[in-house]
Amino acid sequence: MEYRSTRFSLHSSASPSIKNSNSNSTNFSSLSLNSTSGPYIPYYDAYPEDLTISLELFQTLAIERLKILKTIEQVLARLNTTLSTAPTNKKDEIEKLLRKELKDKLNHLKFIIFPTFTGTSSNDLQNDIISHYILRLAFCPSEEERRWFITHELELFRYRFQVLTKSEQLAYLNDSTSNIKQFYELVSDEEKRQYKDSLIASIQIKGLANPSTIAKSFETTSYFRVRFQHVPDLIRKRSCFLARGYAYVSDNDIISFVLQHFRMNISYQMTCSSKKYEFIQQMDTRIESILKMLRKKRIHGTQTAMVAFNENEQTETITFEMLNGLSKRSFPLCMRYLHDQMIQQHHLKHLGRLQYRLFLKGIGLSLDECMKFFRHEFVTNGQMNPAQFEREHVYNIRHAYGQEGKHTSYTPYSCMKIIQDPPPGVNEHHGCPYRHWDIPTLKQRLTTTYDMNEETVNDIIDKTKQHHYQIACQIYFEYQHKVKNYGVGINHPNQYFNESRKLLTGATTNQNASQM
Amino acid sequence: MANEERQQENIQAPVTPWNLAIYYRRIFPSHVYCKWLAYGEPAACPQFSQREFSFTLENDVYRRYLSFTNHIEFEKELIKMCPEKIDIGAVYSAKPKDHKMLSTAQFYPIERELVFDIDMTDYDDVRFCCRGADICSKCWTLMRFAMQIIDRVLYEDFGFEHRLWIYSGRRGVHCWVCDQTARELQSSIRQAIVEHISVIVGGKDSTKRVSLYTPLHPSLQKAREIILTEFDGYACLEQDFLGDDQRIERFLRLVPDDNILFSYS
Repeated sequence: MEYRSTRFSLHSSASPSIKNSNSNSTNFSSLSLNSTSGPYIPYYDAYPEDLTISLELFQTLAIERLKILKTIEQVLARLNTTLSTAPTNKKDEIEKLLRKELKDKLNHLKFIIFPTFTGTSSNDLQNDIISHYILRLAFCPSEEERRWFITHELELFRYRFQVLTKSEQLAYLNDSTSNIKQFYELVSDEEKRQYKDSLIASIQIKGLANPSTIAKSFETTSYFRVRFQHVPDLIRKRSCFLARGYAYVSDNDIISFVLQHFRMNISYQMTCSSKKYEFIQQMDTRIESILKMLRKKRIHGTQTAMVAFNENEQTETITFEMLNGLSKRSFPLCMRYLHDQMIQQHHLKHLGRLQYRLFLKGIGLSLDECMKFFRHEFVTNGQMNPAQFEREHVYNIRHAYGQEGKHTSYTPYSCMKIIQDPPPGVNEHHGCPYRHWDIPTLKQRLTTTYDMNEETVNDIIDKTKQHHYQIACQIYFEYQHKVKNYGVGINHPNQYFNESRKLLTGATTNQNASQM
Repeated sequence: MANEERQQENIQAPVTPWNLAIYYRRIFPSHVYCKWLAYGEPAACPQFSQREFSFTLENDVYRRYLSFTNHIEFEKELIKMCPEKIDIGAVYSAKPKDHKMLSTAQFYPIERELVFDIDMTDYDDVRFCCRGADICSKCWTLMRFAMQIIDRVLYEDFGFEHRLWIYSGRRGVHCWVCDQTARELQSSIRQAIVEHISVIVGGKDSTKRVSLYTPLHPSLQKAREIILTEFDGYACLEQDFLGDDQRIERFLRLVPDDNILFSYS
């Protein structure tokens, strides 16, 4: 249960944004930026007034920040952890992966992930705050979106705070623009001495750190007293000393209560924003459409299908006889299933044909081979008579390859399209298995028909339940190819196929292919 | 019914609807009970009237979201329904009995005491005298250890002043922490407190492990001191934990260091 009591009877916090009781706006010059120190993580409790930006920048900043938050979501889902629960070595992995994924994708907000890369400092801070506020506007109306936004802003904050040096972190505690000072008290030397043994015994990290090293550094370590409610992570792990309701936190663990403070601030602000949102009578339609786009992108990702799959990458010659073997080795589950249904039923309904046909075109199956395949299945092995095939299917297959009518060569469907399009009905086999099959069916099919081991099945089910369909697909990929942490996100069935061929055939042919 | 027949029935079934009704009418301290739950306020306060109760009636019928406007209504319903078990829930934003008419924005929990529940059955794999719902003076020591350890943590570490320890009626004890700060705690921090106190990890098999490192965390040191005061008498005399080969075997399985293990087997 979550208690929605607005009574903050916790020792130090009355109202989170006390400092702004006069005005909710600020001039950037009045922010106490420590000009000598480096990165500054704003509290997002003051919106920039007297500032105009172009609509284009408005959109760009929002998309960039959303990209950061989405990447965080995907990296954490991929590694099945969170920054708060991850052990140190996994933390490094998260940071590395995050930086790898966002390496060339950020422009205005690059400094958020790569702190050494700062543009003009005042612009950076401005862009940071503005981009946050735009996303807040987009996500404050619905509870699910609020929750998602807060969770990932918290992870982002944690990421940024973790890379600060200890003195930078301590400087943060002295920031006069926030009310964090109400959260903690510096422990006096006398009290430190009184509790010396207990304090040293409490920061024992699972037998890793040498107690004598800790004892040595004890003299130079500062301790802070905070209410135990503000450091749930330390309480959970039993890694701080408690007395009379207060936790004694060393300067290595400041993040615990700083994060809690940030969390309380941002939750409160989101709730206030959502109430104010209800009173907005009319919004500029251009802004409205941008907000709508952001909400959609939050779910489906910020990559476009074009970037995902390059038709020219596939250079092997595929004949229709090869399809059976290929389906087992290199097809994603959606296409393997369609293929299996085709082989068994000797027929596919309309939407399934569309999805599968375009995929086959994308993997390099020529029009001839495709025609041969369909004819072989529908007529030779199936119930259809040749005349009916000529009438109903030849034209469509040729059309898909751009040989009829408008002569458009149609693009194979991306994952996003397959997930969003109408789901399969009775006797229909198109769609995305992780999206459209119910959990028991998925489990049963993976275990029985596709002979998968229990651990991987459970992994996939886990991700499916969390709606991370493409990550479930990635797990299937890794299982099929016996690799781990393959890294690239799956967002197109043909991309899956290309990656698979790259892995299995050594990829030499593709090095000469044109750059994406 | 004649007196002898009635007495006969009483021996076979100690709790019947008939004597339960007498119990609730004459013995159950409704007035004090409600005063306790209202935290000293008059019984009609929201603290009491918005509190959820659930009654378990005869034949395992379970009724949730019951609420009473004051202690008089409470007592009346109690006598009328004669529940075999009473559960006390949270205080909500509105009267629980009206919950069906309200949306989640209008009906949500406001506060709830922090309650710990210790069951003797959790100790089944370390006690040799009893199993399941049975308790005796030999294994009750375990319960005493648990209460002393947890009570110390709640008071000295977390600063909770108002702690009520009560026998749960069957096979364990409950601790009700009623401080204002406790009542307002979010689920996440409650979970954190439980994990803070927990030392045993692992499932139902006997390789349940306790992994401790020196130096022990101060709260674990204090827990150890509490146990040491009575451990010898409990383990060696009462439980006789090394009393036969089978028990020695079980004990040796818990020793992690293979060197020590092999030198003794």
